[in-house]
Amino acid sequence: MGAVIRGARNVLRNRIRAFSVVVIVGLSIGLALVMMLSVEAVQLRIDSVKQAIGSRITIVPAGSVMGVGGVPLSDDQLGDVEGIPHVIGVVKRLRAQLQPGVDTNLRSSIENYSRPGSEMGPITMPIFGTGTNTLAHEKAIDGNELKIIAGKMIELSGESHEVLVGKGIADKNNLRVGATFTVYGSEVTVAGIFAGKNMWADNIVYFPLPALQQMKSEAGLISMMYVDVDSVDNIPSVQQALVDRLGMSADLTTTEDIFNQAVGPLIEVKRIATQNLIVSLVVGAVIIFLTMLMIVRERRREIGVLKAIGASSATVVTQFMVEAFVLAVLGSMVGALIGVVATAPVFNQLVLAGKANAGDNAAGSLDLGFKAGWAAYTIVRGATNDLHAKVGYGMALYGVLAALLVAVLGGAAPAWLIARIRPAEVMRNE
Amino acid sequence: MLEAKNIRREFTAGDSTVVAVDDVSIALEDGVFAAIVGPSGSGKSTLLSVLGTLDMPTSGSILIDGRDITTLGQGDLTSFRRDTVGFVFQSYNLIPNLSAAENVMLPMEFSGMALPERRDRAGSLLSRVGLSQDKHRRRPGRLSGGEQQRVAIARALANRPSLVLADEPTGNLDSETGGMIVALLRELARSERTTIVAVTHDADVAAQADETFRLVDGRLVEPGSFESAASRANAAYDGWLQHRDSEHVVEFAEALAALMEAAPTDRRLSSSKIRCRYREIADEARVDALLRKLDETDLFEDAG
Repeated sequence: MGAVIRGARNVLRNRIRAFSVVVIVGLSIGLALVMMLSVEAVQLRIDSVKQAIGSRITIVPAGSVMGVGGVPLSDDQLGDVEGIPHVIGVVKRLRAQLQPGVDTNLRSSIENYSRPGSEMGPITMPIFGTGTNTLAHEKAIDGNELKIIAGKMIELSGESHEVLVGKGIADKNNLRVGATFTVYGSEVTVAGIFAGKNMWADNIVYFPLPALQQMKSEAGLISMMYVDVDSVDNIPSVQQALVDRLGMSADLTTTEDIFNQAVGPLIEVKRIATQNLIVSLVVGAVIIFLTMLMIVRERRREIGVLKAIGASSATVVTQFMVEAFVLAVLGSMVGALIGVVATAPVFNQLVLAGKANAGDNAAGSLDLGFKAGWAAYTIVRGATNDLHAKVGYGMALYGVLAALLVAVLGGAAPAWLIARIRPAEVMRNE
Repeated sequence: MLEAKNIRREFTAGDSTVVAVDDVSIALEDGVFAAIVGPSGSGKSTLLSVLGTLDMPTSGSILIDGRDITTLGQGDLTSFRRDTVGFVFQSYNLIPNLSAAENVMLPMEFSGMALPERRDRAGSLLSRVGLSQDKHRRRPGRLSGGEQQRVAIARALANRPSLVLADEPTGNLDSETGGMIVALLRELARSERTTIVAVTHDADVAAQADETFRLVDGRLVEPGSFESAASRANAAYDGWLQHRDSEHVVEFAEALAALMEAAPTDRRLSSSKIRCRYREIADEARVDALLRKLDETDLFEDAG
């Protein structure tokens, strides 16, 4: 206990030096705290972006656009996708463009449509038939909430001819729950009516996947598959397994690409902040090291006296380490003040630098295909918005930890020197 | 009892080896006040360091109360110094930012004594060495040299050591204060049965010692021998240089007379240095008798 008190008191033996060291160490610890909080804020945002993007691989037949075209993929080609390690869910879809009067007796809810600014004349959009094995992820895939406004959800695993129709189609064709219509010559029954997010979504009919496959005479074939992976980090291995099976017959798009482009600026900010954090701590440790080295050299004889009158090396080292720690703690208090004042402006500058590259990355993400690209664009643009480093009670803890780290790093070599000083030093120059 | 046998301490720097202490043997009973004298560089402080385990001898053994301390490990040596040895240094070596009482309490803290007991004993020791109560809480910088040395002595006695080693305890003090410090050390040796070994240049300190050991070039010389007498003459000359008073002229004259007596008859003193010193002192003090004695003696070769 005596060594601890003596160490703390010794800090004030040379007040000017102590003041200078505390200010300089405070600056380095302050910068370290700013960088630590920046890294933390950026990591939180990276995690939230990761969660928002999810970890999904989209598989479409080679050459298809929005699930239409190309040679449908077969079960034989795909094999047991659920069995691939890290795969946690599979959504299979078969898309059909139902031409009114040809493939179905229904009328499209989008007739005489002219796209603003387009020279093309008014057209009637086909009805989109979607056979699927699950509608649980529909919102994540199409952004469609599928709010059932009449009837019930359909059973998707069998070959039942019960379907869900969009409100637009129901209104256009005066369909009610229990009404029937024909698709590819087969009669189907309206089990439920849903309200989609827009007129395009309201022009959809959802089928159980096996039913549409059977009606379309494409048993075992799909036009699109979504594979959910347990983590973005595991996407590459699952992607490789799928490529091995499908070769050139399918196009694969992953959210990893979107993720990488979305968090690119953030990772850059994190990298700079981490480097600055390390440099700041090293600078603080070097200052403490040089100060303690100076102090040990000055008090060489005093160390000899302490050892001569019965102090163990451990006692003397403790005394000097406490002195280093007190200097570092005082420095961390100054650093905490600097951190409170400087965190917001410094962090904002870092984020601004990251944002400068975000636009380019977002534009580049459009190469992923329209849907994935648009999602990427919005996520990338949003990744650096409203990003703030928060100064909280954690800073005090970080400050103490930084001080401890700086004191241990800076005090280790002087402590080793102290242990080596012989008590006979006291006789030097006597 | 302190018993040093055939102590040798060498220092090696590069290819050269310097022998600071060579084959020194000393035996001291408890309660003895001993002085180690000799010219500068004769190895006195090195011998003191070795006796106090601040430094280890290259060879030889040191027995304190029958225990050979040269065989102890670092941890045991620390405990040994803490419990058995007290040190008094020429420059006092008090910790500057601790009060007089706190300095005295340090060795007791290292030995694990409780704080109230440490406080009581420090107060009692400081009073015993003659430091007034109002100065117990003063820092060394606000004490005179003599007062600081008293604090250093109190610190040396803190853990009731059986051996106190003092390196030039009066070296930085005026003669009156130095005399008081020596008297204090003598009194402690007698009352506490503490063995005190003091390294000194001061003939007054040596004169009050129960036993005196003279070191020349790292070796002990016999009292009455030519080397011992030459060493004493040199020390007396140093004393005169320092004080330049008649008392030291007389001391030098006596030392010189002893030197002449100790010199073998078949050996002429070729030391022109001694002759020159003799003349210098005689001129300074205008002691005609010394001049005549110098002229009469045939022990000195003419320095030219």
